[in-house]
Amino acid sequence: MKRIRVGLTRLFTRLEAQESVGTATHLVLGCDSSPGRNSFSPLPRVAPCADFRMEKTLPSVTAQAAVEADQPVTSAAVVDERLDALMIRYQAGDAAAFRELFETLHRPLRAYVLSLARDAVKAEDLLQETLLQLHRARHTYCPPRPVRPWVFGIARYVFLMDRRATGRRTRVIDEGLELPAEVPIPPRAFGFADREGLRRALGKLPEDQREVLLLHHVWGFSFADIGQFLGIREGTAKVRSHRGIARLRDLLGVKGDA
Amino acid sequence: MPKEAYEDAGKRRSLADLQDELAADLRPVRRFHPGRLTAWVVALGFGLGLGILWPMMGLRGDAVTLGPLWLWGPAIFGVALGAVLIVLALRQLVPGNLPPTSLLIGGALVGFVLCALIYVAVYSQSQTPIPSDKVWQVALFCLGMEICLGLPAVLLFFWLARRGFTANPVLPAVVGAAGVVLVADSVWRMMCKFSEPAHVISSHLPGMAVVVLAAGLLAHLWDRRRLRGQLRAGGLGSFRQRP
Repeated sequence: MKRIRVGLTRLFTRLEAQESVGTATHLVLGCDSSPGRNSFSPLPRVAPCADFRMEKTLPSVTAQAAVEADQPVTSAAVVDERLDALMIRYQAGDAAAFRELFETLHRPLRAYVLSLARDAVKAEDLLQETLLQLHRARHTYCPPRPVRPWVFGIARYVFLMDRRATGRRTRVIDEGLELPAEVPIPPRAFGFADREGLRRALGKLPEDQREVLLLHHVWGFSFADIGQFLGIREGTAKVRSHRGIARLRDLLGVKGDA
Repeated sequence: MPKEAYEDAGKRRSLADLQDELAADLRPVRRFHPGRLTAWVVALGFGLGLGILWPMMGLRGDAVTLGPLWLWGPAIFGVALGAVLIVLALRQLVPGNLPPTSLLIGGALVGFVLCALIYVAVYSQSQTPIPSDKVWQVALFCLGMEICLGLPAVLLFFWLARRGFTANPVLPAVVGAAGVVLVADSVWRMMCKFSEPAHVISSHLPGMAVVVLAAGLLAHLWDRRRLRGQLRAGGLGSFRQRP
């Protein structure tokens, strides 16, 4: 059983590493979402915002490099596995696991709800409600599914419920608002456009495209995960990301294939 | 833990406070398994329905003419189709594991179309005419039976699904109810010998539609109540006093 698990971990890591060559070269500006295609790259290729994804310190070596060098796998898959183990212990009532999970997740969650709500006070409320709902709905997590899509899914539900409860139509009201400064953007992307310009451009994207872009390029979710996360097909997630990138290029005045 | 526990009129609560309060509430929980719940819904719905109705009413009058394949085959197919819809609906109640909405709606529609085709296929095997003086009586009876079988099954589904978590329960309720009524209809199909298209369209399908709509309405009312309760409690983050 242990051997199978290790094998699967290696397989997932290898797949993820392959993905990181194309899609996770990331962000927004550097390249298209299809692997191996990089029609426009005035920027250095941007690595996924792994430190933000995990909060825990990740080794600087990428999963791809680890696989190539046949080093022990120390990648997102391993961190995800750690989160899964913590979540299972949390479901069993382990206080230490709960505290570690809480500490690990609350910063990425805050950034995510901030990217949705684009209001710091509201985001703080949403974060606390998310953590509360996460606690109440902790029985809905089913291993071996990864924890992060489940947690982000709860945050998204909380945001949607708040929007419906308060009757706000943020889709209309928030069009054109900038992203708050706390929403992470991979640092190397700043070489292409200044931070404020990039935030303004991201803020002008349609909500659905921006969400997919951030989920994929900042938080490192695969398109399959995003599809399950948003209740859309994987292909639809890819299309949204592609359109978002094209629109962002237009907004930033960058030439190149969309 | 009641939400009111987090309401504190005196001070704003920090994440650390929330963490402490949640830590105080830690206890082992039983997991929510969509697949396992589906098995329960199907087994209880189909098993109980058949177990109660079969001794009371017996199998349909043309069971011998149809043979076991045409008697049990469509019923098992209907149950399998219903189980797929129930799984899809229950998956909606697990965050981060949503099936595409188009798949849900398409699945429900395909389910009903296949159900209608099954009726046509069975009708092609055995045409039992409805006595002309009892058309309305039979129609109302079948309509009533579809509703009587479907509603408790839907309530059972709601009861088993209550531990799920969703932002909007209407879609999972409608799709889940569609699955449940397919299971219930599979039971009733084994009792009702009239597969005439006019009879099916006028009494069986409306009975199923009534149950599905009732499930959607119930979910909508419950959702409104939940959201209103949230607003009354001060909106989201009510554990954190607003300035």
